[in-house]
Amino acid sequence: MVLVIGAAQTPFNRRKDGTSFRDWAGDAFDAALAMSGIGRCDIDALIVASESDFFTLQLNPASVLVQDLGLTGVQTLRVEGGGATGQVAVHAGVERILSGRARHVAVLGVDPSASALAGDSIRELYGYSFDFWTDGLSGVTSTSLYALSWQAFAAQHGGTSADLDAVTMKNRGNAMLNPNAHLPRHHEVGEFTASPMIASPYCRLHCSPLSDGAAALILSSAQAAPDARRKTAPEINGIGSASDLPGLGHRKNPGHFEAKSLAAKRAMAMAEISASDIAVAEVYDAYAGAEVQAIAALGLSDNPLNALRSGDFAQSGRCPVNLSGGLIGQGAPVGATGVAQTASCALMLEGRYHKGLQPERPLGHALADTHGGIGTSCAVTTLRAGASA
Amino acid sequence: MKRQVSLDYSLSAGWLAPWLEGLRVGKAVASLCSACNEAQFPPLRFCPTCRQHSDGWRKLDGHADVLFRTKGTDGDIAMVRFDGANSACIACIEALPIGATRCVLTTSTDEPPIPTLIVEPET
Repeated sequence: MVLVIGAAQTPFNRRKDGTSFRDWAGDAFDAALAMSGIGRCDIDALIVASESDFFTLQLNPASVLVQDLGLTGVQTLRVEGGGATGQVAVHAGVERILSGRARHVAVLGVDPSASALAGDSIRELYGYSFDFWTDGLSGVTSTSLYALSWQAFAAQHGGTSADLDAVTMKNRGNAMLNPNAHLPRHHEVGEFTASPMIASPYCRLHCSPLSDGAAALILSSAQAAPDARRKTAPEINGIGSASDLPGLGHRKNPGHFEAKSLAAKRAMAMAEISASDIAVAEVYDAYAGAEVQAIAALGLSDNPLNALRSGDFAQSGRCPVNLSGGLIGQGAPVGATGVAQTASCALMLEGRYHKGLQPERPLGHALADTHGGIGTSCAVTTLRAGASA
Repeated sequence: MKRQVSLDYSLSAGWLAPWLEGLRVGKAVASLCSACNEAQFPPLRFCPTCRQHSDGWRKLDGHADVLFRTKGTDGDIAMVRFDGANSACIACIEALPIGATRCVLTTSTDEPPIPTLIVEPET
């Protein structure tokens, strides 16, 4: 059994305060460690999630971060999985505990995705997240590819631009109660028609921002957890990952995130639960339509568009999705994103999430979903509330 | 603080060379799986249907159907399926009128050839 005994993140935003990714990493780790009830000397391994050395200008970032965190001597591993980097790192940490190679693992996600490079440079680098030879060199950016995938989904399921607006309004509205959020906003319907078109039907308001920030988890085997944390800390009871063909055109259904479905099935099989057991979810909404596509792929609804329109995924709905604001509202420092999703789920299950966003009803299970590419490298994590939470 | 890094890559096409050479001269060359007779454009090293190693190349006639298209800061981008191919690909669609659904591959003028398909309306 793997417990989340510490979970924290920094604000996600565009930093203009002279701090660097090494400062944010330290802040997130220190906060998670303080919550965990263990000391630095108890940490056996550090898993670092950072998508690209082009962002940090630091190859082997774990080598300097382990030093900055006062952990020199522990096992280190740097993980990269495109947009899924953070969640893949969570899985690596869980597996290290389950294998018996570590009792306590620090998972640290960090990326300076906003302030280190110009936006166009970051977007070019993101373009290389897809098959470099068939898409990356062409200059096609992620927004165009996501737009084509959404169109394929919408052609099958009847999605409209109003649905994209609704996802943005929901997530940025949630973000207004999240002090760590990059884009807390109340949007009016009329704003979307005035927003610049990036790749039809996606206007700028339908896109997640480039953010700076860090997030950290302290994972522990149940046996090694401090008594006080063992009673209430949530458990990561399922991890699942899967891959798809990178090229949308090679997929039988370019609107369906098949690898995400596979990853979710694997995670839920490990947890011995079904999608109907999920009470709250943080899903990968790099673009507004991707949230709906993710909900469909994860099996959180048989008819995600009707459910969205009925408010099932709103704060007061049947299964709130992206209470944090998601990538669209909270922001997206890539390596930190998946770690922060799992941290949010853990804090919600333990009743420690932000005031105004913490669900009032008891929660049984939560799900965190992250992907790289266009649903190409998918990683899904399920969590169960602690016994005394 | 400012730091500029300039990187000058030398890239080798490897097994994708027939496809890239095709793009250079405006020919659509797909990978072929002789086991199930499926052609992939862009090419795949393994057939996604039967998981056999692709073992040949097939020249397509260069005509394609537009499946989906998007317009924005990247320009006009479409998912198209070439006649004779079992998969679709992402392509730039310069000069394709709104509503047009058929297009044809043209020569890539970029050097090295950019593996992007520039398609134009059929004449």
